[in-house]
Amino acid sequence: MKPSVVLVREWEQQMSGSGCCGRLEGDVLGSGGDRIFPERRVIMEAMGPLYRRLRGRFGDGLDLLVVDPRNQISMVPRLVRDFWRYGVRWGDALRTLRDINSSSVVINGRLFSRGAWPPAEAVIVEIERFNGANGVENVPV
Amino acid sequence: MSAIYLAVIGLAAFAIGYFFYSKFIAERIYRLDPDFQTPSHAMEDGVDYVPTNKFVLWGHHFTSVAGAAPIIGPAIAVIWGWAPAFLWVVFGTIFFAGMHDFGAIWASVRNKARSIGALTEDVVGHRARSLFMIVIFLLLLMVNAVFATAIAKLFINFPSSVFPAWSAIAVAVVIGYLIYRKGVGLLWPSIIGVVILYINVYLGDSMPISLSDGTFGLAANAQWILLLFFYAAIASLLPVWLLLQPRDYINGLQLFVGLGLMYCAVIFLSPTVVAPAFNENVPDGTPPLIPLLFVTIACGAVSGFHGLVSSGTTSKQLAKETDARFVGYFGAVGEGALALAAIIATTAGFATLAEWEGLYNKFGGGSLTAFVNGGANIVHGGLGLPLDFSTTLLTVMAILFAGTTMDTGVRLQRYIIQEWGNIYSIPPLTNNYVSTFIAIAACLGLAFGAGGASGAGGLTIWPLFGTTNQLLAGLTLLVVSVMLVKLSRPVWYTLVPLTFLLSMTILALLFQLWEFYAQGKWFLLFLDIVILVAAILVALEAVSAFMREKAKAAQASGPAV
Repeated sequence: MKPSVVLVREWEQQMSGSGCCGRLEGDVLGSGGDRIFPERRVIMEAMGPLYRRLRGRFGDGLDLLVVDPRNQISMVPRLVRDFWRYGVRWGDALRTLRDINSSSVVINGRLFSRGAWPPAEAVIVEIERFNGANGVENVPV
Repeated sequence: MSAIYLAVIGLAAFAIGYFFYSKFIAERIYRLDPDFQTPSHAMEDGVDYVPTNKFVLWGHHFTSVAGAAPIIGPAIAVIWGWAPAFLWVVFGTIFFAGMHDFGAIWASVRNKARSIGALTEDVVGHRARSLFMIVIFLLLLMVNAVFATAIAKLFINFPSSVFPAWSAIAVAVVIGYLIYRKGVGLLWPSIIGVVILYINVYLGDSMPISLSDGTFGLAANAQWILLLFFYAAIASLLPVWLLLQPRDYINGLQLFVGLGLMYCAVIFLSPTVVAPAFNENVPDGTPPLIPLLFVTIACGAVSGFHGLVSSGTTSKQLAKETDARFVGYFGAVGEGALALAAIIATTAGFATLAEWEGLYNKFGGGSLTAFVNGGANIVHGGLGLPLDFSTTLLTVMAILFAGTTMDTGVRLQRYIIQEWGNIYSIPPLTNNYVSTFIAIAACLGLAFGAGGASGAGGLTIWPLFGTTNQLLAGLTLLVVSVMLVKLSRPVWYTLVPLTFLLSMTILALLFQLWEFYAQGKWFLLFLDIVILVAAILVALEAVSAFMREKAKAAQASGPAV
């Protein structure tokens, strides 16, 4: 069984049923070289190194997903799937749902970090521990 | 006839469209290749380019394209009867919107995830890019004016919605503070925010708020419009984390709650459609069905704004090219389902034909009011929710969608004006306050220019807004068509929708031109001419691009010298 990592962060653009005619995407996402959502952009760019490190280390041996927390119709079912698949206890599952914020890491259905992106090595150690327990060889890609 | 038939036939047609037509398009026309390296893989950086599961991406895409417009358009268009609106929504979704949204993603993915605006320049030419920006500005101008008018009308007709709608702003600010400044988990602020909103909806019934006519010599409707633009000006100047972003957490839930309530209630109640299939007694002043139907319903049948979403970010997350079919086409189907719900609410939510005709007593007369009244009757009858609560709930839902669009619309207009200030070296235009003032003044001019001193007739410009939206869709279809010509693929499947849209748009503009002239509405006449010129230029660009590509193809296949 592949380990699962869900990186929760908002995409830069506006979304979520706020009106089909006011999208701030593509052509109008930046104005005069400035980003329209600078704070969100900082979070996105800070997550990049973690994402790249995980992808580089595990390749397709990791079920890696980046999801916008406002995309509740997709995020919640994915988390519920992970709770079921990885046997997460009710208390931990509820804690994950309760504590996720706009920059969080969820590993195998359990909240690993929130608020700031953790060092990639810490996430890698956790995934390797899971792989080791499941008899999966940790061969770098 | 039971409205269930409309729901079942409509949804079944969407399913057939998805399983057969979109499959045909994917395999024969766009020829999606599962092995094609999409930009999300080729440029994977974990920031903008991230391969994403297609179901997750659909959730993102759909919630980005759905909103108030697929409700308002059908709610106005049923004045011609339920059949024309139903047929245009169903066939439009299958053959126009699905093709358009799916095509925009495909075109962008095949061009390094470039946005549709950039593609108009790359594929069609520099003039097309300029046209694109002009069309965007006109769209924003009109959407703000129309949505302000629509919200004001709802405040007048449903005073119980005033308190919950304005209190949602305070709720959003608190959520924004907790999430973005205190780092609180998302679950509780979102749930508590929505619960407080629903409590306020309940309280709203016992504290209706109305403005009286005559204050400052203005009608209540005009006062609401001024207040709404005053709010939009402030909201557009605030940091986005404080109000705009947290509103998404409420609105996202509202979208699915609203859709779920409507379809469940229709199943349980099985309401009868009281509106005529084809209305032969349309009120005086109602424009002709052809061509106006095709611009009155834009979102819900085909909408140019979807091209911005499809090519702006969706294409950067597409994991496999074959996923474009599910994300793009099925995203359009989702919006079609919303439009279908609006048609059912506005045609089956009334006890008698006379009651329905009482609301649809002039063009633009039913609109959101009919959606709220009809939808509330259905929800009340089908699910047993109190009628007053259902009415306020649907009103607030529509107001929140439209209100957030106003926030972003005014903000976007400000950016465009500031960009013009930079381009043409006019420093005052780059100032936040000056540019916001100009944006608001333009919107107010349009809202009152269209509807008179009371602003009550502002919804008459809805078809004009539709023409601009269809022009944007036309530009996207033009890009996709030119790409198909370059690849020597069958082009009819995009060319026919493109030709149809441009023809209907130009005809609608010519009709309205005459109407505005006859009524002496000079400001709208001027606006119509501007859009008409843009439409003709798009048509000329299309002809020129096809001739150019045809000549190239002939040259390539000619005898070697």
